[in-house]
Amino acid sequence: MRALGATIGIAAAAIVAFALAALIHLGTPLGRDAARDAFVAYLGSRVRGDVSVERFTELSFARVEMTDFRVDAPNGETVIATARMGGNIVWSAPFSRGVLELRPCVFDRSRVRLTRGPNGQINLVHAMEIPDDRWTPIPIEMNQIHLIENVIMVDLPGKPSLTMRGVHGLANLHVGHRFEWQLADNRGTTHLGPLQGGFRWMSGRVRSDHASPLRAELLMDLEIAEPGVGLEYRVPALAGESGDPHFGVELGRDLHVSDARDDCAEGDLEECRTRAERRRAEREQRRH
Amino acid sequence: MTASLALFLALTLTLAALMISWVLMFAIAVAHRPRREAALCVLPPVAPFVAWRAGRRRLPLGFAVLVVVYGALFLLAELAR
Repeated sequence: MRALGATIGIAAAAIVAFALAALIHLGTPLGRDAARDAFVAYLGSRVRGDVSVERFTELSFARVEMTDFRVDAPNGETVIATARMGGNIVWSAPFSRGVLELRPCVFDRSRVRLTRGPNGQINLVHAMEIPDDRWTPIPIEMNQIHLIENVIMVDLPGKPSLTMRGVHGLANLHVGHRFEWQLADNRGTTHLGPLQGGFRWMSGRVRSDHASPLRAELLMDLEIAEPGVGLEYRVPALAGESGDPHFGVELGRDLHVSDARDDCAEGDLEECRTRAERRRAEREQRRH
Repeated sequence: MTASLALFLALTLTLAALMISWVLMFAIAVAHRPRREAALCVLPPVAPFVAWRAGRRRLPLGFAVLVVVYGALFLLAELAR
C-alpha cells in the first residue's frame, strides 16, 4: 500500500513538473514553433488535406493565434487560407462537451473556396473532415468566429460562380468525423457575373454528416441590400441524394429568373418556402 | 518529428527532471538542517550543497549534469533561431 502511494505520488509529481516545464517553454519562440509543428502534424495526419501554418503568434493558457493557416485539398486546390486565425481556449469544453473548443475566434482575411470535390463532395469538406477510419481523440470546434474581410468563392457544378468579398459576420466551425461550417448574419459584396452589389444577412451551412458514405449539404441564403434586387443561392444537396442544386435570381417584385424548379430539396421544401416568404415580406417592408 | 519539437521536448523533460530532483534535494536538505536554517534551502544552490554535505551525493551530481544539459539545449535553441 505504501509502495502504491509512493508510485502514485511520484507519477503525479512527474506530471505536474512536466506540465509546468511545458508551460514555461510554450511562451518562448521555440515553444510556439514546436506547438505549430505538433498542431500541423496532428491535424495533417487526421484530415485528408495538407495543413500548413506560418507561425503561432500567440500561445498561452488562455489564447492561441496563428498566421497563414492553410488547407490544401488532395487535388492541390487551396480550400481555405487565412491570414490570421485565433481564439480563446475554453478549458471546460473537453470535460463538458467532449470537444476542444475555441471561443470567441477570429478569421481575418480568409479565402474560402467551395468547389466540387471527389464523390460529389464539396472539396472543403472532403479536405477538412476526418474520415471514419482515422481515429481522433477529440473534435475541434471554433465558435463565434468573427469574420473580417473574408472572401468566399462558390463555384459549384452547372451554376454560375459566385464570389463574396469583404465578408464580415459570424461563423462556427466543427472539425471531426462530422464537418460543419455555419455562417450567420454576414454582410459584404457579391460578384455574380454582371451582377454586383452589397449584401446583408447572409447565412449558410456546409455540413458533412459522416465521412462514409459521403454526404454534404450547402444551404446559403443571400440577399442583396439594394432595394428591388434580391439574390438567392441555394445548394440544398450536392451529394445527389435529394435533388439538384438550386439557383435563383429574383429581380424586382414580379420578375423571377431561375434555372431550376422553384423548390429546395424534398425534405426542406416547407422550410425553404417559409424562409423565402419571410424574406419577401421583409423586403417589402424595407421598400415601404 | 521536427527539430523544434524535439528540442522543445528535450528542454521540457530536462526542466521537469531538474524540478523533481531539486524538490527531492530540498526535502533532504530540510531534514538535515535546523528549522531556522531550513528556509535557506529554498535558494537553488543551497539545497544541492546541503544534500551533498549530508552524504547524498548522487542527487546533487545528477542535478549538476541536468543543469549542464539544460544550458546546452537552451544555447542550441537560441542559436537555432
